[in-house]
Formats: sequence, C-alpha cells, structure tokens
Amino acid sequence: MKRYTTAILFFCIAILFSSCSYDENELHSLNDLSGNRILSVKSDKTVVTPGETIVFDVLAANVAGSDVLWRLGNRTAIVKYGESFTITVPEDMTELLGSDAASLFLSKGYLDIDVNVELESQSGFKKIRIANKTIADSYNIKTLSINSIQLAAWKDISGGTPIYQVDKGTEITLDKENINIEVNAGTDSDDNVDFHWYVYSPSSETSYTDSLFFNIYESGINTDTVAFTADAEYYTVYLKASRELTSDMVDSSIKAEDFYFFYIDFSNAE
Amino acid sequence: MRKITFLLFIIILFSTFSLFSAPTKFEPEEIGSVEKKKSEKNEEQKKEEQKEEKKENKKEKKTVEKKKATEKSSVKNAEPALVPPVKKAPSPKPVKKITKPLKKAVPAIDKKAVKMQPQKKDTVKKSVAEKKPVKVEPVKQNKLVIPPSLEKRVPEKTLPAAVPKPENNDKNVQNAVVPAKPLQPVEKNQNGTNSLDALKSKVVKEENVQKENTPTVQNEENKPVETVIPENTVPAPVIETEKKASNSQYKKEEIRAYSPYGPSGSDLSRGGNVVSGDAMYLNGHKVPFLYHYYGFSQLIDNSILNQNTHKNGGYTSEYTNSIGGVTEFTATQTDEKNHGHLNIDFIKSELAISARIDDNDSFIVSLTSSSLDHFAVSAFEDEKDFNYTSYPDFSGFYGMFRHDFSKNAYLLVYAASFADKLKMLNIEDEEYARLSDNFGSKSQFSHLGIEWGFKKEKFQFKIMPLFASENFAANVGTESAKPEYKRNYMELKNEAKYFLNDMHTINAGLNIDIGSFELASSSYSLPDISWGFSRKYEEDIEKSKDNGYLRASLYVTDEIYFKEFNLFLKPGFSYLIDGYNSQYGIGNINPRITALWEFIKDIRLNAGTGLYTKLAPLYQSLEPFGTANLEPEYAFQTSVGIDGTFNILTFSANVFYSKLYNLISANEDNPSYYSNLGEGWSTGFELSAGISLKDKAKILAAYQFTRSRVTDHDGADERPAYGEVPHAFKTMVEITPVKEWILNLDFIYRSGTPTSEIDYARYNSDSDSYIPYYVSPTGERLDAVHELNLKVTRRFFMNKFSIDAYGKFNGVYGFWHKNSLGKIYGVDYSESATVTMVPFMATIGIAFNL
Repeated sequence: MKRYTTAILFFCIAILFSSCSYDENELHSLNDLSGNRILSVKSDKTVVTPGETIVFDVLAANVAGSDVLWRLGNRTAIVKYGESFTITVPEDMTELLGSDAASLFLSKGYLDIDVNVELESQSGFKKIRIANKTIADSYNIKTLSINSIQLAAWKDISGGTPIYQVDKGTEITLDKENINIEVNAGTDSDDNVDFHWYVYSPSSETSYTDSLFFNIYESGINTDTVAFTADAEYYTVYLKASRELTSDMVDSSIKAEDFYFFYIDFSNAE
Repeated sequence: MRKITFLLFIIILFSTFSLFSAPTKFEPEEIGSVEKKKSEKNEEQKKEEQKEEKKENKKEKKTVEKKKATEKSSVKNAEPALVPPVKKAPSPKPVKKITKPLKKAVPAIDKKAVKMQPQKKDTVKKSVAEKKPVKVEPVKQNKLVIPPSLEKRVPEKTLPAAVPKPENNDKNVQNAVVPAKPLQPVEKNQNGTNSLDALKSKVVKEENVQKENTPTVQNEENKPVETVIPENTVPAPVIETEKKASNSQYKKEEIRAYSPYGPSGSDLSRGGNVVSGDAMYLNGHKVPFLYHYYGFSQLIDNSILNQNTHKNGGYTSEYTNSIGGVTEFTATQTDEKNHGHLNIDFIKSELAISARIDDNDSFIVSLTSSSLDHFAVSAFEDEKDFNYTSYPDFSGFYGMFRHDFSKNAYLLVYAASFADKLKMLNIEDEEYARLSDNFGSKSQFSHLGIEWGFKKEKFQFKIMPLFASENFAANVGTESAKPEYKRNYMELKNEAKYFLNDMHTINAGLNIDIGSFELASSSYSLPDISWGFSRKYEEDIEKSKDNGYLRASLYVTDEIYFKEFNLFLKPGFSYLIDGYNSQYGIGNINPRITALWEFIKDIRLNAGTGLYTKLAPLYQSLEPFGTANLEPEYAFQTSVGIDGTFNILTFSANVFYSKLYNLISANEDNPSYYSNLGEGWSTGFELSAGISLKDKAKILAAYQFTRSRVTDHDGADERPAYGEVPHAFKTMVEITPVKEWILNLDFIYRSGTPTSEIDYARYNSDSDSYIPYYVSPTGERLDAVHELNLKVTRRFFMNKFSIDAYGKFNGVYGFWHKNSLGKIYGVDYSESATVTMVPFMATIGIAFNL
C-alpha cells in the first residue's frame, strides 16, 4: 500500500510541476545586453552653484560613433559619443530655466533639474542640484569618483585607460577560472556606495540563466569586488557607482555617480 | 519530503478531529438509502426510534390533517424568531414521507437539497414532543423549488418584504427550498433563526389566519394548491425547515456557474459595470476580495459561505458607496446538524466545520490553504531552476461563534483573515532582485466583527461593529516599483426594520467608517492598464504618509407589497458623506426604486433604477500620491430582468445600462494630479439557464456580454474601461450515472482584458532603472482565456459520513493552448514576453463530508 501511495504522490507531483515551468530562456534573455542601452549618466559635480561649469558624460552599451543629443533647460548640444557635454550654469537662472524656475530657486535656495540625453533611440536623464553657495557648502561631498580599478593578482587599471589587452607573452598570467576585479571609490564618507556591474560578452556560450550573473548589484563602503569565471575570449566590463549626497539644510537627497568601462581580451593570450 | 509528510500529518490530524468531534449523526441515507441505513442500526436504537416514530407519525398525521384544514397560510403568519431550534436526530420514516413527494413534485431539486428534509422532521418531532398542535407544513414547504440559480436572481435588496424572511435562512436561499409563497422576499443580514418556541407561537396564530390571497404552488400530489399571502400585520417567517441548509456542492458550484469570469472559473462576475466600482460584502461589511487571484479557490470554504445577493445594477439603497455591481456573502449561521468538510488535493486544502455546541451556541471554523504552494517549495527546494518561481500562495481563516440569548436576541462574533500572494520569478535573490522580469503582489485583510440582533414586536435591530485592517503591496517591474497601502479602520454599522403593516415595512441603516491609512511608494507606477496602473510618475516618490478619515452613510427604504398584483415596490434613498475629502462634505443623496412582479406563476420580472455614488478612493486622495478633495463618482443605473422556472428548466435574463459621471482619471502630464473629468457608460446583458434531469445530470450555462467605455477628459478618445471583458461564458455539466460516481465538466471562455503597448522607455540614471511610457489604450487586448476542466469522483457512503475520492484535471487541453496572464518586459522594455500560468494541473484528492 505504501508503495502505491508513494507512486501516486510522485505521479501527481510530477504532472503538476511538469506543467508549471516558464520559458526561462525567453524571460531571462530580455535582460541581456544584446542591444544598445544607456547604462549611466554622470556629471563631475552633482551640486553646483550658479556660475560654475559642469561636465556631463554618458555610458552606453553597444554604441560607437553615434551622435549624442544633450539638453539642459533650454540649452541643447550634439556631441559625439565619448565626448563630454560642458555647460556653465548662468548666474541668472531665468536665462536657462525660465522665470518660474528662477523664482523657485530664489525662494528655496536650490533647484533640481534634469539633464536629458538621447542616442540611438535611447533616452535617459539624470538629476543635478543647483544650489546657492550656503546650501552647496553644506554638502561635504559634491560628487563621487571611482579612484581605481584593479584586477586581483594582476595589475592596476588606471583611470582613463578604458581598454586593456592581455598580450601574448606577458609575464603576468590571468586565471580565467578566477577573475577578480576590485574597485575603490574612496571618499570621506562612511555611507554605502552602490555598484552596478555589467560583465558582458557577446561571444559567451554561457546559458541565459548563468549570463544573468553578469548583471550584478553590489553595495559597499567605498570598495567592492566582483569575481567571475571567463569562458569567452572577449569581455566588456561596465561599472557604475552611485551614492546619495545629503545636507543638513535640505531634506531630500540627490545622487552622485561615476562610471568606468574597459575590455578584457584573451584572444592573444596563451 | 519531510515538509510534505508534516503537512499531510497536520491535515489528517484536523480531519480526524473533525470526524470524531461531531456530536450528532450524519445520515447520507436520507438521500435515498434509508432502508440500508436502518439495517445497520443496533436493536436498541431501532426499538427506540420505532417507538418514537410511531408516536411522531400519529402526531404528524394529525398535524398534516390539521394543517390542510387551516391552509398553508398558517406558517406564513407566524412571527420570525431568532433562536435556532433544538437539534434532534431525525427519524427515517417521516423522512421518506417528506422527501418522496418532494422529488416527484420537483425533479429539478438536487440531492443535497433533499437532505434538508429530515430536519423538518425535527421540527415536527419537537412540536409533537411539546404536545402542541404544531402546524408545520413540511410538505407544502417542499412543493415549490426554486433552483439556486433562479433564487440568486431574486433581487434580495430590491424586493420589498411585505413578509420578512426569518433570520438565518441564507443557505436555504441557495438550496432552493422556499416556502410556498412565491414572492417571499429575501432579507439581507437576517441572522436569527426560527425556534421551536417560534413554531409554537406560530401554531397559535395560525388558528386565526385568514385564508385568502393565495397564489398557487404544488402540493404533495404535484397538484396546484394555494399559497398564502400574509394578511396579518405580524410578519410571517419562512418556516423553520427552510433554514436547514445542506452542504450542497452543486449549490456552490452554481455560484460559480453564475459567474463566468476568472481563468479557472471561480472568480465572481464583475457585475457587468465599471469594475473599479464593484463592491463585495461579507456579513454586511465590504471586503476587498474573496477569491484567489488566479481563481484556484475562494478564500472561505464553500460549505459555509452563502451568496445572498448578486446584482449588476439597479439595486436598492442598502448598498452604498458603489457604482458597479454588488455581491454579498454571509457566513453567520450554522445548520441545526453539525457539518464537517475536509478536502485535500495537491492544489488546495480546505477544512470547514459548522457545529452546534448546545441549543443556543454554535460555531463555524474554516481554513483554506494552497497545497500547491507547499508542495512546490518542498518538492523542488533543491532545484535551482524552480527557486526562481514563487507559486501563488493563498490562505484563509474564518471563525464564528454565535450565542442565542432567546428567540429574539442573539450575539455573534467572527474573525476573518485572508492573505493572497503571488510572485512570478524569484525576487529575493540579490542577483536578480532588481531585474524587471518579476511581478509580485500581496493582499491581506482581517476582520473582527460583532453582530448583536434583537427584535421586539414589530421592530428588529442589528448592531454590527467591525474592526478591520487591509494591506496591499505590489512589486511590479523593478524593485523600485512597490507601492504599499495599509488601512486600519472601524465600522459602526446599525440596521433597523419596522413592520408598519401588512403593506409597508420600513428599513433604515447607518454606517460610520472611521480609520487611518498609510500610503508608501518609491515607485514609478506603470500606466499599462492591463496591470491596473494608470499613472506616469515623472518623479520618483519615496514617501510614506499617514492620514485619518471618517466617512458615513445612511439609508431608508419602504418595502411596499401590493398583494392584489403580486407586486413589490421598494423606493428608498441613501446618503453618503465624505469626511476625508471635506470639501464635498455636504453629502450625496441617492434616490432609488426597485420592483418585482410575478406576473405568471414562477416567472418574475424585476427592475431597478436610481442614482449611485462612489466616494473617491483614499489612496487617490492623499497628496503627494494623489489629489486632495476629489469629488465622488456617480452612476445612473437601470436594470431590467426576468427569471423563472419551467419544469426542469430554470432561466434568467438581465439587461443593464449605466451612465457614468465624474469619473476620476489621472492627468497625463502631471502624475500627481487626479481629476473628476472622466465620463463613461456601461451596458450589457446576462443570460443563464440550468437543466436538471433528476439525479442523473445537471447542466448550467451562463453568458455575459459587457461593453464599458470611458473618456478620461473632454476631447480624449473613448477607451475600454479597465478590466472590461466583452464576452464571458461558462458551462458546467454534472453527470451522475450511479450515485457512487460523479463526473463534472466545466468550460470557461472570456475575452482578454484591455492592454496597451509600450511607446518608449527612458533611463533614469539616479534610480538605475527604466521608466516605460505606454501609448493610449486603443482597444488592444490580452489573449482570450479558455479552458476545460474535468473532475471524476467516486463517492463512498459510510455509516456516518461519506468520502469522495476524485481526480481533477484543470486545463485539459492546456498543453496545446496556454492561457496568457500578461506581458513582462526586459529591464529596458525593449523586448517583451508573454507570461502563461500553469496550463495544466492534474491532481487527485479526497474529501470527507459529515
């Protein structure tokens, strides 16, 4: 009797769950970096005062040589992808944002505005805060900067070096089974920095489920480390770091961010 | 596996307890195997019962003769009583006498309804024991059988009660055995019961009953006899036997059959009107839901839940704060006999006990849970792939205790707590926590209700305070989209009824709703109407806010009975005041009138019209999430219908139309701003029919057509209302070739709900997420849902209970046709995929019925 009961239970459960699965490949593939996609918009200062110059950059996947349309208030500019958009915030806010916004700025002492970016049918935006000097000075940190990226047991990837190739015959070998990347965004604050990693390889044979590993959210105080096993020759690593900036004088926070990207190319490695 | 074993152990423990704790006997033989059962009794019991039966038969013969002499009106003119009769085991012989003519006279009645007969014997026996000339009319009472589907069509609220129905006859409404009087109105929230004392007093009064105004019903010989229309100013109750409800599964299935919505067929009809304006009641108080999302089950076991009212429009003034349909359930009354019901399979588990402690005390306990969820977790806890999916999870508890102080006063306390959760894909794993391919939601509510009812002469009163809480949370798209709504509140509700004379009965009620609510969100709401969101946040709102509120309503109606025309009219009005949106605190008066006319025996016309008001939802009225001081929404509703019984056929048809004003709509440019600029209309019809071929087969079919359109503001294009389902159809077939085997087939079809496509998505670098922007709804819909379900049951009749062993197949052709639930999108909304849910489920199960 016990045997029959067990058989019936097994039969029913098997039927039940053989029909309950999703087409996971289809669902997970929705999040692959297969097309172009904006990954981050950053500014060299998140809190600025009138008269200061601010520099914007955008990070996007699978984009090269495209025109980027920038818009801040009534100012627009078209620059090539990879180039920065620079603008000086005028002393008179009316010129940039209109009279209503200027009045609001005068009454509150600060104003949040969006910088908009468009490229290759993608659009995005980021908020910056224009504040008077008193409020701006109340932020001990006005921006966030990734100081260094390092491949463990290898060598530093210095800032401004987005591409790195592993040359044949290099004296430093890379263990593809255990690739560790460490980032440092050290600031004066003990607040958490949020890191978002994309480790993307269009040639990877990794299954969809595992490929989600390449889309990683981490959080740490200033530093973070990500590790993965490489099964492809070519990788692009995108990294975005962000942190909330707070002030004793303003209730709401605003986010500062920075990004890096670089390539890892095993094609010439032994 | 240990979890499964433990779960089974707990369930078996419950079942064992329920089986052995039942203090009274269950006699399935009453369905038709009385002789067989008798042989199983011991000699002493037989002797005792035979003695009693002889006495009782004599008494009963006298009673019946006397009753014939005094006409059927006697019972009708007795006073309603609130105390349930003393329970006593029925004796077989009288059962046979009563049930047989019933079956012959009314082939449409189902087995479960017949089960009620022996309880009538109780009444007879009691009466005899008291040596009173009881004029119980069991035979007459069983002559007219209104099938449940028809009975549900009785516009309970719409019918003026020249003769108020006695308390606690809800189940009888479902079970289709009603007194001979064809237009016996069904009263809302009548929770008393008739008692032996009441019957005694009835008998005394019957001596002076007038013999006139008698519509015809069928007598024992299946011949027409006259029905008594009450003349006395004292309201006549439905006789005691009427409230002896059975646990008829068929009855409950009809509730579903009547409501052809829901992928699995167990969802309620949306009432055909504006979905957001629909209202559902449990024990007189509004509840947010009673059914599981996907329709796997309802949250209260069928055997204790009674559907009192279902109206898609044109209902009476008692129902306030709704511009759509209304559906009301009650679970406040136990049967005279104890009932236990335990059902276990791999999809769901249900346990329900309805029992009497003594003559004055009774209780109900119902537990429902999802077996599917437990098995899913247990069976695949080590399978990584399945960890990514969290199956629907629902659980419900309902408990009620009732004490009858006397025939005129009772007190009941009940607690209801329900939770329904659903997650698609795993959102707890940190790696995937912020992906957009997840959907999760949680709905919970808890009610602690008290009901104190008493009556004095022509006056009845009920005090119904309620303490309640609600909690809704959703996780849609990305992690940041998770609005949450909580509400804690108290309702002070009172209802009164005064029997002015044999023509007029005055009803009045007052409800004060006071509480606080909290709304939190860090959300970009998705405006895709297929998910129920209709707003576009330009700014991320990361706030939580508390607020208090007070709202109140009252109503007054007059039930007018024109006996010469067999016509009921019920004019009345309701008044609502919104203390939260205080700018509109002057209130809203809603005049309404309904009518019911039995122009041919067993065929009735009903109609209703009036003004209806729905106050602005609290969550839309709280800044910055919404707009303060929103006005109410209004509807002018008209409904006309016909229902009846013709031999083995029952049918109903209903046409409705609503003109909608002042609808609340979101501003397309300013997501934090709502306005009352919307207008719309809704129309449609419902058809239902049932055929019952004695005990061999039952066929039910229901179809509903609905067209509901909304214009968000002047100049905007007309669009389908959220949740509009143009075509909904359901048919159910139950075949019983022999009494031990039952075959159930049901098929449902419903049109897909409106949806809208994504126009584009913008990346917000600060929140690291994409915001979708949808095109305006243009009539595009999700795919239609249809499925065929099959259930085969083998029933074993035991001495004191019956056992059902069954196999159930939901979605028989599900492998070839997967019903879609909606779309999900990638993180940047550039790609989408269709979500399908459980195309096929097979399970075996077992049910114990006391």
